[in-house]
Amino acid sequence: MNEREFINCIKGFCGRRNAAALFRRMLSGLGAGACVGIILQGISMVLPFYYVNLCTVLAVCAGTGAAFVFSCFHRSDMKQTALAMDRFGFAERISTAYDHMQESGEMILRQRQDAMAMLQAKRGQIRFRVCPPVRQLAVTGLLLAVMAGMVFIPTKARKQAAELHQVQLQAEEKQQEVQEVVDELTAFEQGNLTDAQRAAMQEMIENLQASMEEFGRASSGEDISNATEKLEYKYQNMGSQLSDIAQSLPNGAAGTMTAEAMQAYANQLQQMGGVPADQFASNQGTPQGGENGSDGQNGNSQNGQTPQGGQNGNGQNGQTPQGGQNGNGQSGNGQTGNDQNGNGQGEDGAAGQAQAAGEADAAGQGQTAGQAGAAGQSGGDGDGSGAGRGTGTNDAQHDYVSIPNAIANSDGIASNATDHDASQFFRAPSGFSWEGQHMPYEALIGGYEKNAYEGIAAGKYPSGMENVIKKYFESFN
Amino acid sequence: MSALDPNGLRDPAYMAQCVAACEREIQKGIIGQRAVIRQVMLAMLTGGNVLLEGMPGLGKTRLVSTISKVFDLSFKRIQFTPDLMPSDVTGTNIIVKNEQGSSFSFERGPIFANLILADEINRATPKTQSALLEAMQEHTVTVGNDSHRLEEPFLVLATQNPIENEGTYPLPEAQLDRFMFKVLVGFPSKEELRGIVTLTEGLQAPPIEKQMDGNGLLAARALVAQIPIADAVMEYLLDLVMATHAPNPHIKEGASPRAAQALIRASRAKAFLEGRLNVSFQDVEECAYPVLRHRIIPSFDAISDGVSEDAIIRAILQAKRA
Repeated sequence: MNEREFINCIKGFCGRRNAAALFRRMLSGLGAGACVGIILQGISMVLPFYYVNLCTVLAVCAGTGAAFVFSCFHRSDMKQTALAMDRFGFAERISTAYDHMQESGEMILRQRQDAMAMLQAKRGQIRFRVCPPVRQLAVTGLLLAVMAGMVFIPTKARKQAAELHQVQLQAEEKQQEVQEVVDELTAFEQGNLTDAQRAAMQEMIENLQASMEEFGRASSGEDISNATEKLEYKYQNMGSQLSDIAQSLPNGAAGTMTAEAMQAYANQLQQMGGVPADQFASNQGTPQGGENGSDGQNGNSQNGQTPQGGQNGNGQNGQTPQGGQNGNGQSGNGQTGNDQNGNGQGEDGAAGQAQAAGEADAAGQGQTAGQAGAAGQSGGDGDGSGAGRGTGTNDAQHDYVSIPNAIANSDGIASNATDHDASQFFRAPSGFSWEGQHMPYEALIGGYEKNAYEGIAAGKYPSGMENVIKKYFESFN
Repeated sequence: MSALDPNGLRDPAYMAQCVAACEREIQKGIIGQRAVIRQVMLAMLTGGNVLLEGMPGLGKTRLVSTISKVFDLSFKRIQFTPDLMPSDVTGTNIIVKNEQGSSFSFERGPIFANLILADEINRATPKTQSALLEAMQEHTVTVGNDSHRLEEPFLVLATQNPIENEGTYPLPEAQLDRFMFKVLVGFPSKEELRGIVTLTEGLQAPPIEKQMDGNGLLAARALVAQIPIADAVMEYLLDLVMATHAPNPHIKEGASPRAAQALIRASRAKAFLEGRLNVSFQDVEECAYPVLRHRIIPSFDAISDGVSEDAIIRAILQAKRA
């Protein structure tokens, strides 16, 4: 062996040693990452942590990557390799020879020859294992297996995390949607608007921003649902307001452009609020709801003795809440009929509650119609001026229905009419209703009103909505 | 082997064989005590002085005598007593009357020999002990205004009794530091004792033959001094000495730089004796005990806890290995 071979030999072992160290360290890094992953998975079993799998993968990758980088920066050099080779029985001959490679002298040369001769003879004894130790492999594999196994263990916290994540996604989506609406509203040319209209526009924007905050605070599907309902309600109102503003704009090039755009956007908002555009347009053009309200009033006036009109009107409408107009008209009529009847015909009472259901579907404006009915009630003159503007949706679902005996029988749903103001009903085989006890309308509205005012006092509602709620309940008085 | 091959004086392999032959020859006259013989041989190869500590009758004098025979060196023994004067060791100027009149003439003391056995050195007064300092370090003796060079190779082997402290003068640290090794001479085993008895009380003791002369020893020393040391080994060696100065509840004072020099020389000599031309970690570790044990001053805690110097060195070595 000459000096070149001696150096090459050390270099070769240096490469093997570095490779071995790289594998060993990466395996250690992998194991460390797996340990962190196991800890993260364990945490996710107790606490909601949606991104646990992503974090676990990142931990494993980070451990391995860190080990790789560390190995790259901590490679052993030839000197260290020579020293490591000496541990195989060379008694520091190789490192001494390597350290004095550039020197000359009789003793140095003799020592170098001695080292090279011994390396030549015992080269086979030097073994740097490139493959990591079996035990380390086994431990790392076990850690990875445990970590992978933990990924698939379902727990309540994980389910909760998934739901929460879904809520956050929905909230973000909604926030984005609302932000777009805010941007659109802000972009409208407001030069032709009156101060009141500008104030109304500003209020719309503030209401929408309040909704954004509400979505930001949402922590459950119920919160999202509530906020969405409020938002849709706002959309509807805003659509109406925006439409009114658009119609009030003066003719003119710039004004017309703004008015058209505003009207189009009002339609769009109505759509977002759950009202089909064509229906919204027809409602705007032909206030048929008001006519229905009139019908209700007529019914009421007749009801003085024969509340059949109201009853019929309500019953039919309640069962077929196809349009917002119908829904509203029904509400007004039904309630009126009940109150007027006073002396309590069970059937009428039931009908009145059916109106309440219609009310829920058709949205709050139906109440307005009911109010008009109330006017009929007091005056009994049948001049109901119900402005019931149909805003009900076709696919609205009834949470509760109250079914009179006659109808119940015809539908095959078992129910019992009571004497005056309450009726019992039972779960229908077809699933239309649930057990429960219906209560008088006044008590129901009173309870709602009480809860609403408590909510306002507690700050549960977005800013700007308080007045709307108050106006809503005041309209019943 | 009775005569060295002049051509082989610069051949490390040949000289290593000669030294090994010397060691084997010494072992013929000294039964057991292989570690003591090895350490004395290391001192011979490096020119260091040796302090032998052990009970009387363990063969210390015989060892020195045997070495002198094997290496064909002059040997003087000085029995140290409290009334021994420095001039009794170094020699003195005396008035000599001759034909020209009277004049001072330097009368050499017993220190003028290749091998000096300073027996029970701790029984002499510090003044007399210090008379050895210059000879041990500089290999010169100064009397009056004249310095006299001691003949090379020069080596002092001193003995002291570790038990009898009454009427003794413990060697000062400065003088202890001049000794390269402090060798502990232990009691022989029963088999070794049987061999000693058989050897000394038998009718025919094996003759001790000369294996090397002073020039051969000096040539071997020159070779030993050239043995290279790897950087890592040197680093380890220096770390060991520095570790004696690190905060340690058992060490009052650490080893001096002379300890590092002695450790390097001793490690080289050990490698040479084992036929290697490089120093290994093992060499350093084995030489650390005799080199450091008399240079570390134990603290009061160590003394009260019964922690010996060797235990302290062992702990340092273990810490360094880890």
